[in-house]
Amino acid sequence: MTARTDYSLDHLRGISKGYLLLIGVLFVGVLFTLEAIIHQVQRGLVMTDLAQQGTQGGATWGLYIGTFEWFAGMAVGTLAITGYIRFNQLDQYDMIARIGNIWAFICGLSAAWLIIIDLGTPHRVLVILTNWHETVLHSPLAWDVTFVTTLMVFTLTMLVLSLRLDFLRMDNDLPLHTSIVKRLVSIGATEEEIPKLESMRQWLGLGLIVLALTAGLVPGLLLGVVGGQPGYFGAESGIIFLVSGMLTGIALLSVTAGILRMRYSWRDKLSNPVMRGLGQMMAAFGFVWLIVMFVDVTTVITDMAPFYEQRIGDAMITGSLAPFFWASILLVAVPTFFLAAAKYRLGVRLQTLAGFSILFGVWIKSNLTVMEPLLFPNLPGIQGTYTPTIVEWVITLGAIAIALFLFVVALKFIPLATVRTTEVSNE
Amino acid sequence: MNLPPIGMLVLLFILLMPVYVTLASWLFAEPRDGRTASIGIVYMGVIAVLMIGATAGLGVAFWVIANLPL
Repeated sequence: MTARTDYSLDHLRGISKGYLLLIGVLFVGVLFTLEAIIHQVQRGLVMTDLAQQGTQGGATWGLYIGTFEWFAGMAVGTLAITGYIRFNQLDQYDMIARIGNIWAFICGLSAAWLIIIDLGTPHRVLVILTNWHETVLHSPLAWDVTFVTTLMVFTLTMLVLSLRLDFLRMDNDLPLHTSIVKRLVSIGATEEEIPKLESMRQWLGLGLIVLALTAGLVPGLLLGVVGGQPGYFGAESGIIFLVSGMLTGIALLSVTAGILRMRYSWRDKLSNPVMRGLGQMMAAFGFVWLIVMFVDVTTVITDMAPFYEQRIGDAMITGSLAPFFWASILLVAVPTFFLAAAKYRLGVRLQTLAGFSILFGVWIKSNLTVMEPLLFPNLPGIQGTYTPTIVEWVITLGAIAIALFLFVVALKFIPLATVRTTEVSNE
Repeated sequence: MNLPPIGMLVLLFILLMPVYVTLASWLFAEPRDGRTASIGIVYMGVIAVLMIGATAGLGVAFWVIANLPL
C-alpha cells in the first residue's frame, strides 16, 4: 500500500512522539513566560531597560513594541489573504485560507497581548475598557483597540462559519475533541443552509478585505500622530507597516504550508501550483519591501539630510546599528532574489527556509524601526542606549512560543479543509 | 458649524465599515435566508461579547497577579 497523498484529516488523530516533544518544549516556554510576567507585573516596567529618551538616554519602546508591530503586521497580512481567497472563491487555496484564518486570529491575539504587557501595570486594560466611550472620541490608541477587537471577532466568526460549512459537507468519523468543535459551530445547522452559508462566507471574505484596508489606515493614524522625529517619518511608517505585514503574512503561510506538506504530503490541498503561488507572492512583496526600505533609508543617508537625521543614517549604514540593519536587509533580499531567479520553483524545503529567513529579517527591522528614532532624539549631544533585559527577552520570545503553542494545539482540533467523502469511497 | 469629534467620524466611517459591509450583505445578498443570516449575526455577537469579556478577565487576572503576596 502506498502512502496517501491526499488530505484525510489524519493530523487530528493520534499523537506522535515528535508532536509531544514539540508541545512539551513550547509548554516549558509558556511557563517561563508566565514566570517573567509575574516578575514584571509585581515589580513594574523598571524590570525592562526601557527609559525616557533624551534626559535618561534611553528608548521608551523596545522589543515589546517592535514584536507587536511584527505580529500586528502578520495579522493584517494573513487576514487580507484569507479574505481574498474566500471572497474570490479560489478553491484550490482552500487550505491556505483556513491556515491564514487561524494565524490571523493568533497573531491579532499576540499583538494585543504584547501591548497589554507594555502597559506597565497591565490591569490598566480595565481602565481602557471602562473609558472607551470617551477616549474613542479623540484617541488613536482607542481606535486601535477597537480595530484589534474587530479583527479578532471577524477572524473567529470566519472560522466558525467556514467550519460550519465544511462540517455540513463531510460525514466522516471525527475524533471526540473535533466533534466537540463541530457541535459548537453547528448549532441549528441544516443541509438547506449550504447555499446561504457559501454566500455568507464569501461576503465575510469581503468584510475581511475591508478590515485589512481600514487596518492599513489605523497604523498610519497611530504612527502619524507621533510626529516627525529623526529617522521617523510618521506618515511613511503606515506604509512600511502594511508592506511588512503583507510580506510576513505570506511568509508565515508559506512556512506553515511547507512544514505541513513535508510532514503529511497533502499534495491535493497543498499542491505544487499552490506552493509556487505562495512563493510568487512572497517574492513580489519581498521586492516591494526592499524598495520601501531603500526609500526609507535614502532620506537619512544623503548629504541633504539634517544633522540629527544623519546621525541615524551613519549608525544604520556603518555604525552601531549596522549589523542589525544589514542582517535584516540580507535576510529578506537573498531569499527574494533566489525565489525570483528560480521562478518560484525552489522546492518546498528551500521555500520554507526562505520564508523563515524573511520572517526573521522583518522581525529585526520591526524592532529597529521602533528604536532608531528614540536612541537618537532631537537633542544635541545625546545618544541613548538600549539593551533588552532577560525579562524582556523571555516575555518577547515567550509571546512567539505562545503563538506557536496555540497553532499546534489548533492543528489537533480543527480540520484544515473539507474532505470530499464521495471521492474516496471506492477505497 | 461645529464638526463632531474626529473620533466619532473615524469610528463611524472607517472602523465600523467592515461591520456594515458584512451585515448588509448577509441580510440582503442572494440567496436570501433570514434564518441562516440571523444565526451568523448571533454567532458574531456572542463572539464579540466573549472577546471583550475575556479582555476584561485578563485585566482582572493581572490585578490579582500584581497583588499576590509573592
